[in-house]
Order: sequence, then C-alpha cells, then structure tokens
Amino acid sequence: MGEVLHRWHPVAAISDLRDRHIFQTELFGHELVVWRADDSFVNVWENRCLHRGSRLSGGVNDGTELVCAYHGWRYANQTAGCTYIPAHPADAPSRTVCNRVYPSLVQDGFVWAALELPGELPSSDLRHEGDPLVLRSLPIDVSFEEIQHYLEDHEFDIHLTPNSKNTEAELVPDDLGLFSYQNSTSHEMYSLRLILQPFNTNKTIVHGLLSPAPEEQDRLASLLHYNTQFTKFREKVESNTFVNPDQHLGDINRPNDGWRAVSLSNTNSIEVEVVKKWKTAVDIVGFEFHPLGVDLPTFQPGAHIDVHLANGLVRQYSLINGPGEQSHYQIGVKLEQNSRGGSKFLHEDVQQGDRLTISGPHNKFGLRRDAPRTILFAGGIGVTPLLAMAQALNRSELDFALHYFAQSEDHLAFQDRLEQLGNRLLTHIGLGPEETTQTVASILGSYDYLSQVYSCGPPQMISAICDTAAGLGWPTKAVHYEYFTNDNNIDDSSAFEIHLARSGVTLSVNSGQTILEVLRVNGVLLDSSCEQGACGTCEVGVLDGVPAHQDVYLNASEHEAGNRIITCVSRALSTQLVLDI
Amino acid sequence: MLTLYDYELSVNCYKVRLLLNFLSISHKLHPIDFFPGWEHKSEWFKEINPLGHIPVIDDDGYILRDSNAILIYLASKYDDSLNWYPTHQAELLGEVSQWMMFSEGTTNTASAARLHDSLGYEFDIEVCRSGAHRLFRLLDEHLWFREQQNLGWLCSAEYPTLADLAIFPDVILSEEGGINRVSYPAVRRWTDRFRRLPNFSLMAGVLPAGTL
Repeated sequence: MGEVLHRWHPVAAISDLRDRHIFQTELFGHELVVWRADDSFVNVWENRCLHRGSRLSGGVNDGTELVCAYHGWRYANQTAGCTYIPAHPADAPSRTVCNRVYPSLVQDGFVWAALELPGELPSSDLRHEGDPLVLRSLPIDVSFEEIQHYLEDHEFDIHLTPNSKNTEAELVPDDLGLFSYQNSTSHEMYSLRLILQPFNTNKTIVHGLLSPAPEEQDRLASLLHYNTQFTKFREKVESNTFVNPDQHLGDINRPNDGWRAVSLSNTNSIEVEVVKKWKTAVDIVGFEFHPLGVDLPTFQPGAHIDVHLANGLVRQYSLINGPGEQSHYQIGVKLEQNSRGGSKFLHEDVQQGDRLTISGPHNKFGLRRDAPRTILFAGGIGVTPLLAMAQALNRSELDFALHYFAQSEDHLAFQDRLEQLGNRLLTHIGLGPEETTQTVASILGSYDYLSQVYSCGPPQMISAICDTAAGLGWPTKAVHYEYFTNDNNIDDSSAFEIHLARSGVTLSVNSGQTILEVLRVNGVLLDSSCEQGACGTCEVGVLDGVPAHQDVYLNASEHEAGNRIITCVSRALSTQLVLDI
Repeated sequence: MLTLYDYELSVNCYKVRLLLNFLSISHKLHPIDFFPGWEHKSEWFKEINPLGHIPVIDDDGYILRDSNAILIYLASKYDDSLNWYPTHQAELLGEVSQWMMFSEGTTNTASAARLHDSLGYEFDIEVCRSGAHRLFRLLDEHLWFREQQNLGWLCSAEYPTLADLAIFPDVILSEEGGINRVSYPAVRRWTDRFRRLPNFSLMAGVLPAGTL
C-alpha cells in the first residue's frame, strides 16, 4: 500500500478539462478537483474549500481562479493560495490560507497525480509508439484489489479497427500496475494499455490507451468498440463481486421464519422453550432456553433472569452466556438441599420441550471493564454470573483471573466454557472456610489501586471475602458481590410514610406491607426481581429520612450513606422517607 | 397573462420556469403551498387538476397539466426559432420525444430520491438511487460520445432542445437525493453548458456555472 501511494495514477483525461470545467474525482478516497486555467496550467487540488469544507467542484472556474460557490472564497491558479474572502473585503487573506495541492503532471492524454511524492511515471515508454488514443474511462464499482484479479482472467476482444482481425491476447500486468496487451502481427503493431485509478475502496476507474491511435475515420468506431468491451467487463465484474467466505462463520445464523423483533413491552414476560437440559456437575443442571417468536433482549455479563415456574414460584438465575451469545439463554441450577420448591421443581419436573415464562435480564451486578486487573471469586453455583464475566473479559483480552472454589472436581460446572479460559481459570478444590479465607487473602494482597473484585457464592463466603478485603485495605468501591439469597430475618413490623418527591404523593406503609407493595397498589410500577433484598432491581434513591436497611445488595458504606433503599425489604427508622420517584 | 401554479422547490415546476425564462414569456407565478400545506391536494386545486399535481398552467383560460405537456405546448406556441421542439424535423423530433420519455425515468428515480430525502416521501430509497445511477450511466455514455463528435446536447442538433430541458433539473438536483455525479463527468460538463445558456434561471439548490 505504501508503494502504491507514491505511484502516479491517471485522474482525468485531458479532454475532460474543456470549457472551464471543474472536474471532480477521487484517488484512494481523497476527493480531488482537477481544473485547467486559461493559461493551460492543470491544477489538482483537494476538493474542499478551506472555509467551511464545501466541495470546490460546485464552484466556478473563472479561467484564473477557482471560486467556492458558497461564500465566494477565491483560490489562485497554480498555487491554490486564497486571494480573496468576500466577508472580509478590506483584508488580504493570510498567506497560510492555501489549499492542498497534489503532485501532478500531464502526459499521454491524461492528468496524472499521486498522493505522496511519486516515483517513475509508468507510461513514459508509450510515446515512441506515437500519440495514443485515449479511450472512454469507465468507473467500476469494485475495489482496486479485486479488479486486478478480474483483469488477469478477462479476455477482451482486441482489434485496432473495425475491419482488422480479432485477436485474443493475454493481458499482462507489469510491475507498475499497468495492464497491457502487446500484439504484433505481420500487418499491425499496436498495444492496448489499461491503467487503473483506485478511486475509493469500492470503486476503480479503468482508463485505456490504444497506441498508435487509429486513423481519423476509424477513431469513433474504435472508441465505441472499446467502450462496449469495457462495459461488458463492468457488467461481468459488478455482478460477480467476490464474497469472501469468512472462515469464522458457518451457515448464516438466522431463524428461517423471517425477521423477529424484540418486543420491548414484554421484556418481563418472554415465552421460551427448554431446548436443552443437561447435568453439568454434581447437583447442577444446565438449561438452555430458546425464545418463541421474539428475539431475546440484550444481556450484559452479570445479568440474571426471573424464571416463572408452573408451581407458581419465581426464581432468579444468572445467565452464563458469553458475549454475543444472543440466540438463547443458558442458566445453571443447583439442587438445594433445603429447596423451597424452585430448584427441586426445575431439576425434577421441567423437561426438554417444556415452555416457560422468563423475564428479560436484570443486571445490578455490572462488570467494569476499565480496571487493569479483575479478580473473580466464585463459590460453587456462584460461578454462574462470574462465568459470563470471565468470558467477556477473555474475549476483550483484559487481564483477569477466575478463582473457582468447589468441593471436588466433579462439582465444577460448565467445563466446556471453563476450558476456553485457559490459565485464567484457577480452581481451589475441597477447601474449608478458613483455608478459603486464607487463599482469598493471599490472592488479594494489599489494595493495589488497580484491581476490581467480584464475588458470588454462599453468603458466608461472600461475607468472608468482603471482610478479608476490607481488612487488607480494599475500599468497598473495588469489591463487588452478588448474593443469591438474603438470609437476614426480615422485620416488617414498623409503620411509616413515604413521600414520592417527583409525583408529590404521600403514602402509608403499614406493618406487614413492603414499600414495593405499597407503590404497586398505588400504581407506581417499579421493576423488581428477587423481592428478598438480594438482587437490587427494586432500588430507589432516598432524598430525606433514615432507611432501615434489611437487604444484602447494598454494601456497608452504601447502607451508611442512606441515600438508596431496596424497597422490597427495607423500611424506615424515621417517620417518613422521601423517595426519588 | 399566463399563470403557472408553482412550487419553488418542485423539479417539474422548475422545468416550466426554465422554459418561460428562456423564451421570455411574460407570466405570473401562483405559489402553491405544496409542503407542508398540501395545497395541491385541496378541493379548489383539484378542480383545476383532478390529479392534484403541479405544475399546471392557465394560459388565458387554456389549462394544461404535466410538465412535459406544458413544455411542448409552450415551445410550440412561443418559440419562433422552433429549436426547443423541432416539429419541422421528423428525426430530430423523434429524438427529442425519446429523451423526454427518458425524463420520466429520471424524475421517478433521481427526483423521487430527492422527495424522499427532503420532504419525507415514503419511497424505497435504494431502488430510487440505484435506478438513477443506472440511467445516469446511460446518459454519461451518450453525452461522452456526443462530445467526441463535437456535439454538446442530447439530440442531434447544435442547440439544446426540450430533451435537455426535461432532464437537466432531475440531474442537477440529484445530490439532494443522495445521488452524486462524480462518476458521470460527461453529464457534469453537460450541466455546465446548460447553466451557461442565455436566460438560464436558477432555483434553490442550483448553482451558477460561471461564464466562458
């Protein structure tokens, strides 16, 4: 490419520049104007007025200067310096106001230009053959690279005059990018040269020279003949444009039943089919859900969905999907020994082919991607959101480590996805609580101002990680976690008022009611998910009053700040809370 | 007095205004609030043109619609040179008619793209643009070979005809429909020549070409 920028390329035929025309073209996507002044000097400039960037090709060639159509800035022949600015009639334009001039020369019927300082002129050997005939240049909507392949394979019908014998000759590219037929018979010696102008990435102009030029009476017939040849070539090339098979893609992955649309109004109620159910580790089953009728909403790593079960329960599960894996959702479900009916139902009663309703993804466990290093701590089934994060970090080639704590090798879920992480995955097998804490402490070390920590797993493990990190000087803003459940005993005996600042409504929350319920009953629709103070979906801002936090979503410093509340479980210590809704 | 029911930004009205000025026909313009008022679809205007289209002329009570029909009428009645619509030369007249038919194509592609982009008409913009490029390629080839024969206009005459006039506005405003003309150098030179004709009139979006 560097070499080709220094090469001379034809950008216009001399005959294009008649009658004070401003010829417009491009070279490698650089927009050019080519214009001849009355003194016959040919200018090749950038097609931009320095004032507002308008194209000079829409202006006027007055024979000595080019005048921009918009505000009348005038640029001088040869130098391209600005000579007059109508809006400042008393001032001489600064000498630095000068348009870009490209190296150019005129030879063999063409204006040649180069983007960078050029080398040898390719057609300099043409002149000994006599003045050539410049053929009609043809723009073809194909790239410079592709058209060269086509030219090598294409056979033009070559003859000098309508009456001469047709010849098939091989088109030979030379090392300066010219394609030429050299033909000599006993009666005739002539050559056809094709010279390519790389217009932009999608367009190439084929210029042609026939030398020596035919007799005057055959001139028009020759021009017509080669125009027909070039036009046939263009039709062939444009209908055959290469589609480079992409090795990374199989068949196009698009449902056969036409276009689908994400139904935004229903993102909390999406019908899916269980397409796959498989055992992935001890007590852990994977599920793959495919949508019925709509595309699944975009998810981010760390997101979870609500799964509505036929027994009336609603449970939350993190998506384990990697980035861009949008055609289905996968979740992992661990059979809880003390199952209240959710995991047991999914393990035992939900089968492949069943239909379920799920919500769109909620994500209050977002992954920052601006940290130099990310540490992921997974305990048991807590691997699920971290697996999605690890795959995203891995794909983005960001520095991370996934520390996966499990009872045994057989408890490691989603081996196929884990394998893709390579040495970014570190497993810690069969550790007790104390060993786990020690391991976490040695991994964390003291706070390095570079890392972000994410953890998910049993509540005791998350608490231990948070405490350990705090003890090592890690600020809460660098330590993120997600509890699956809230093991706090929720006290809902208090009664208080909430004032909704944006709507100006005051409501009473009686004992036995949650803020979320009171809002719902009064028509304030707030998104929620787990409704036990773990996922953070129903969080709102607090403008005044003192919250009584009972959630496990907000961290200690957020609880202390008191400006956010998880409305499904938390209440008020003050008589009134002013909420930012 | 001849009245033209006119909209400044209409390509087809511009065609009629061009000829009125080329032939120095005294006239008055009756502006129609085409956009956003849709006055051409109003009851009173449909009594003049049931199709609800402009341009329409009223030449002392003689009412005529459709730009090509109006051009033929005006040239036949007011052009003493018989250049614009050469009724006395059968072959030339045939060529003029052929290119006036071609102008239906440029109007339905290039100017339709312009209506889509500037006035929000619901056309398939890609179909409009690719159709315009197909016609512009033909036009460029034709005009390039005219130049090789030292002829500057669409038909076999040394002067412009209604063929040039009917196609020029669709071409010169094509960039307002996202159709650039950089690949049609012979067409671009032809628009220079057309804009340099005596009594040429501009409209919004049409810039002067300068003098020779």
